[in-house]
Amino acid sequence: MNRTEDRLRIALLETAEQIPPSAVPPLELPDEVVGRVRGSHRRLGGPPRRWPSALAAAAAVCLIIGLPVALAGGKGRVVPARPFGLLAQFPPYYVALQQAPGCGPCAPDNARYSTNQDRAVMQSTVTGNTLATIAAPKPYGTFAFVQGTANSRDFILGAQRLSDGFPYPATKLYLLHLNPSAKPGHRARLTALPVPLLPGASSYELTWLALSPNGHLLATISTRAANNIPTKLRVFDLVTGRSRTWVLPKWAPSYRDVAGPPSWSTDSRTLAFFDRTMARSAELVLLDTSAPAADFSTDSRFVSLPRPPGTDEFSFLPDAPLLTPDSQHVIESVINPREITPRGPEDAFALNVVNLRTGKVTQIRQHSQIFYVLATDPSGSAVIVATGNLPPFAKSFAIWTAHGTTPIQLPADTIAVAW
Amino acid sequence: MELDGTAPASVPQRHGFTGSDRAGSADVSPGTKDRAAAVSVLYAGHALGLIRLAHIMLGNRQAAEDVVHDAFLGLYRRWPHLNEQAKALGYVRSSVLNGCRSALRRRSASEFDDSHGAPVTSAESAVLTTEERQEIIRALRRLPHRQREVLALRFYLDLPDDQIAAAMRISRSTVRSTAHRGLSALRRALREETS
Repeated sequence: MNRTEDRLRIALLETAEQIPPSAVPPLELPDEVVGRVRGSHRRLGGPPRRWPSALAAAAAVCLIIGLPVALAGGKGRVVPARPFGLLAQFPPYYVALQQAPGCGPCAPDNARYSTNQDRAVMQSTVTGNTLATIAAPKPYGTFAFVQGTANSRDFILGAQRLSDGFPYPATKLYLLHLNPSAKPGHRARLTALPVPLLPGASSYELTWLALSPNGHLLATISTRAANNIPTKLRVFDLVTGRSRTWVLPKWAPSYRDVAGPPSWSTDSRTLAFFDRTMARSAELVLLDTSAPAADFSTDSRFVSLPRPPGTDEFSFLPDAPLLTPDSQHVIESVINPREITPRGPEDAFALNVVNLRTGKVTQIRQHSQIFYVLATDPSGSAVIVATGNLPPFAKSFAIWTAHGTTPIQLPADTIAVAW
Repeated sequence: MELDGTAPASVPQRHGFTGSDRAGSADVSPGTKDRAAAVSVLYAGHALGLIRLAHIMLGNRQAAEDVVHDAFLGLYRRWPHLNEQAKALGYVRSSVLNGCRSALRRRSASEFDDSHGAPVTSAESAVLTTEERQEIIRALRRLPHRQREVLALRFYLDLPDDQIAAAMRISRSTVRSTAHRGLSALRRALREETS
């Protein structure tokens, strides 16, 4: 044995021993959570995962997310559509991710990854006119994330290579800036954000994005598609290029995201999101991203939220409730069991906005069918919903407020919307 | 760090491998009905060694855990289709090598952010890491993937040539020639770094 071999052997052993035996994560192989079957979008042994992931997809997209409720076909209480004047008070533009023409209703859960060449379409809230259509730059083939920002003219887009989801693709983040005064065709500019490529690794999924109101900090949450692997929250400083990572100490009891969509406080210091490891109650996490420790438990404050009286949370919806971008309100989808009759639900589903400071509950809509919340304005008082089914199978889209409903024009193959 | 010693006598215990596929899968009898239990047994016995192997290849602990976890998930899925379940360890070892290759390919093709995962080492272990050891590992990671894998399997896992050949799906003579070339390249690289 010569010296090089000796040195190599010892170096290998000592390098390997940097991982202590206690560091081996437990392996759990519950039937319902093992992973995706390549090309089929189903999980082994469990129900089709269209629901949670598609929902999460839409959510990932906008920071908002998915609460089912119903729009079309309901009886009686649907408020007549208001004229467009109502929309003038809302964010003036929204961006929708749409599948390429001719693709048809492809994979429904493609907000975390996409098998299609999805493109981003920017539209006017008031007129519905298309202002810009953006394709993913090379070498990426599709957009899989979209999220609005505070100024309503900038959007974060996540580009990926086409993937069947396993292993999960890496995500490159871009800033889409709209110049409303520019000529058509020159209105949108796509710029790569100074953020490293977010690797999909072998099993990590980028699940949430949130840009701070001052535009300096970008928060990402990555979730492992398996049990007992901690969720990681990372904040990138777009000015200095530095980043900080918090490892959430909990893990989900099943195939669910531990952390809900994050929202920034108005001073761009605190990140708020829901701990969703608790089955039937909500715990709000307030993480001070400026704290020096970079330790999740030390830097966080936990707030338990009361349930509105007489309501039960959708137990099957992993994404409810939803914190609004101003961190002052919670949107939650609730079901009133007393309204479920032998003939089916009658106005059993409702969408509530809870003011976290006053505790006041405002009901936006009540309905007998399920709908999906795709985007919300900063206060949560207006939401963009899909009806009929989860995108891209949705039949129609609309803006809901407590005062009325306004249909908006989006193709049926829309998969996500950001306001 | 002393470098003049011979290989530690307790190599198999230190990296958690017995070096034998059959011995490693002794508790996983072909007739086992509960594949989850069988895979879990295998995981309990070999996860540490495989994670360490992947860590050597990738230099990233979180990525190493991912690769190994996925390899066992793949084994779990394909368990009913394994022709010889006694060779499950060989299968999962090959999966880990393939996963490492894929991860490295993605990394090189796309400005992989090594710091995205949990810290690779603690501050304490970083202090203990000598420059010399880092040089050797750096040089090893610069080798072509086949040479890197052969050297890791031979000098870390102490696998015999036939098992290395099985894990990498190459012939034994290729294992020998690749190991020779890899060591020569490593020697040259270390000499260049030193000079």
